[in-house]
Amino acid sequence: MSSFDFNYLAGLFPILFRYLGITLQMAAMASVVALVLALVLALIRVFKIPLANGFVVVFISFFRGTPLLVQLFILYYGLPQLIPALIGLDAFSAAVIGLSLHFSAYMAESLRAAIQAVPRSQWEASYAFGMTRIQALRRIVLPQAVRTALPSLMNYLIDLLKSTSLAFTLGLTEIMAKAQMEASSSFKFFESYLAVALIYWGIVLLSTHLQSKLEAHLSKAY
Amino acid sequence: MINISNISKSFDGQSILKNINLQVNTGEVVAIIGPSGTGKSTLLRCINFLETPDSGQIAINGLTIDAKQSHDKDVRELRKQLPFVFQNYALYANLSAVQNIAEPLKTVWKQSREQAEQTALQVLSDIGLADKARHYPSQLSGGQQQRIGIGRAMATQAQAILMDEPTSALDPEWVGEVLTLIKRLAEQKQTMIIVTHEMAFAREVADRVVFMSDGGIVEQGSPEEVFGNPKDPRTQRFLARFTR
Ligand SMILES: Nc1ncnc2c1ncn2[C@@H]1O[C@H](COP(=O)(O)OP(=O)(O)O)[C@@H](O)[C@H]1O
Ligand SMILES: [Mg+2]
Repeated sequence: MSSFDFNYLAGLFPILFRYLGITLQMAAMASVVALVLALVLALIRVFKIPLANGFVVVFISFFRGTPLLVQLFILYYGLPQLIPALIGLDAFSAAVIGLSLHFSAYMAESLRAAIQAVPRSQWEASYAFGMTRIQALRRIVLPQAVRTALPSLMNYLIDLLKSTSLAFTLGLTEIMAKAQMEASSSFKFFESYLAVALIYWGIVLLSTHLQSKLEAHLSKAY
Repeated sequence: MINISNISKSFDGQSILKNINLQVNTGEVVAIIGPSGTGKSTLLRCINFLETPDSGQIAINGLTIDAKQSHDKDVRELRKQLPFVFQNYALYANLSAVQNIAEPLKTVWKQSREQAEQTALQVLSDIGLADKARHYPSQLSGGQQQRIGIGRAMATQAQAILMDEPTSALDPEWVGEVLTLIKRLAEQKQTMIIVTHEMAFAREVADRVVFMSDGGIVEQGSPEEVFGNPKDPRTQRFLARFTR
């Protein structure tokens, strides 16, 4: 029975911080890809683009209906057995792809709902002056939709950031994996995992702060 | 200048517009009156293809569009020449007053940002709202929003402006300022087709009054003819409600 080792905990931070970069890089890349993909998926749903629409419905259903961990395993361990071209896929890329696909499905749904919540009169007022569908979308409808969707998009991005910890199961050494290594050599499991938790918590608090600032800024506009 | 021929439209198998023919000359102000549910809005929306007619043609200065074979590009060109003023204003909610007016100038009329904003500010001061340039629609009264809605159409170099009951959604206190603005446009010989319930206004401002009922044009003529000496019993019955 050992007691809580504060010095050990404090000493872990510099070690873990060295692996924070890879966590943040993974989160940043997956966030960008997920957002772009979510927009494409949402637009296919909104405009009911033939064929693609059906595919997107199934895509969203699958990625929302199965656990992220299972998706990552299929992508990294499973698919290369079927598709030889994927054998060279490294754990980092697999994690980024898996996180992107998973969260794009959720974000597509909130973007779709937000786009459809923009009154039809906003589209009509755009068309009535000769705008194209793309112009109406980009200049008038999407800015309004993004404002509506922003809180839920930000929540998904925070969720995505926390979910990067699953990448350790693909053998990627990010902060979660590093903490596990430290724990298994020192046997100080509580301190090790607490350190990871505190680091995630800190980043999420920072993100939430930025989120509320951004929302306040946008709600001031109109 | 605007030639509307044989326009028909039905919704869910129910015939709403029955073979409408209407010509509007340059500088003319045409007021469309008639009972509600008669197809006035549908006609106006068909004229700039917010609704695609089932059949018929719209021609404006060399551009003819057939309902049965319309190309997106032609439809956009038609709309560009026939901007719309909506009953519920429908200003772009994410844009300020000046941006609302500048937006079509930038995206559709391909003006530079500076030029578009300069035009927009000029229009705002024309309609007496220069001090509201940076206000968003939600911060403006109904009357102010509708004046900007009209300003948004005025600012373009369009051939004619379509207005669908521009004062019907307004609190009574704001109706006057909007009608005054439209009157001014009429004096400047701006071509307009206006659907309205304001009979006194139609009588005073319109060059021609068109009475619609049951999806068709029942009678048309100068305000004196239609209001002073309506020929069709349906026109007489409709107008009787306003002259008591
Ligand atoms: N998009 C639509 N779908 C189905 N019916 C419609 C639609 N738009 C209008 N209508 C019907 O067409 C008729 C004429 O409507 P409208 O043109 O708005 O009349 P008005 O403007 O003269 O009051 C009404 O019976 C209305 O219910
Ligand atoms: Mg109407």
